[in-house]
Amino acid sequence: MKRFWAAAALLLLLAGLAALHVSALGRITGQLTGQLEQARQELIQEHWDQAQTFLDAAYRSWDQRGFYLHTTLRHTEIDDIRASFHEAFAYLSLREDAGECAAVCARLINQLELVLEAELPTLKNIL
Amino acid sequence: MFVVLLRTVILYLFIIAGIRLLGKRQVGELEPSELTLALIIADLASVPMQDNGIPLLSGLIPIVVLLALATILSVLSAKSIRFRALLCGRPSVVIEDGIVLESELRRNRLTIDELMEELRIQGYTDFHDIKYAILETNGQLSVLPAADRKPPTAAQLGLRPEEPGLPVVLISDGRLLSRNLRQRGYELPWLERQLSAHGLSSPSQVFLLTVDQLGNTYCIAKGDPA
Repeated sequence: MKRFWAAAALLLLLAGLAALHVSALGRITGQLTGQLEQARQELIQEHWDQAQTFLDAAYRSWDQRGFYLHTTLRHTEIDDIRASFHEAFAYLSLREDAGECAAVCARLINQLELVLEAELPTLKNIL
Repeated sequence: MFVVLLRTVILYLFIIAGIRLLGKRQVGELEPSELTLALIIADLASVPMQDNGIPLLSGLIPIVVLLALATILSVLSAKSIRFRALLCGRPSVVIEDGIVLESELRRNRLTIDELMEELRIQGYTDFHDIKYAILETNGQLSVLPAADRKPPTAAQLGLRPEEPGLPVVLISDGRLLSRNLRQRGYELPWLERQLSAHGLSSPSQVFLLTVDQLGNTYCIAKGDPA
């Protein structure tokens, strides 16, 4: 019976860790999408410096959690987000087309939302 | 490439540890649930082994979950007969008093050719020799011969043969297992006498030497013809 309880405890632990992971990912993506949305709003008004500040903060935040994200998410998703960040930075350095840069921010927000959505224990994901 | 190598080593060690934790029974005799487990684990492990884009955890977590579920199911099936029957099915009697039960064969999707093949493997060619043949839940066929077709035992013949007990290995591939020698209550001079009786002078010349509880030895010298 000891094996039974050990196995049941292990399953509960994994379920708890999975819940923590979803919660942590929700916090990370929530913070990032907030910063990216602010960057997008600044870009619409062509406030390049303010947009740069928000985008830098978002990228730092993303980069700091690289290990955690790499060990829990598919690497292609992480690489796509990183590529989008670099694309946004390229537009920022040129400071020519704010609309394109805002569109890249919108795509980044969408990518982050999809990353979170894929981890949620919803019926859609399970099926 | 180095990543693939390390991932393969980690997954392999992980699966070996998991299967060991499940117990010895799982390895040799696969019940339907255990066969399913083995197939899924093999598949789960191979994906993150080959694809570096998938986190290792995506392979490890499902394996841990499966092993935990298998442990829970095996404990429950050990505790409850009803649960065991539900999980593993029940043994089926396919031959009774020498008569093949067609309905049971059909229910188990076993053809008469497969049944005869299995009986031949077990040394039975005549159905009349069989009292019962039972298809076990792990797919093996157990055959109980009819009472008048069974070979007589020593007790039935009124004989009282001495019990030789379990033979213990004293020398294995030239290496002396001193612990086994002491456990059987023998010393090196006794071993030297046994070796010289077989025309040998050193344990390094011996491939296998065993001794039973009656002191009977069995010796194969290195390089002996099979």
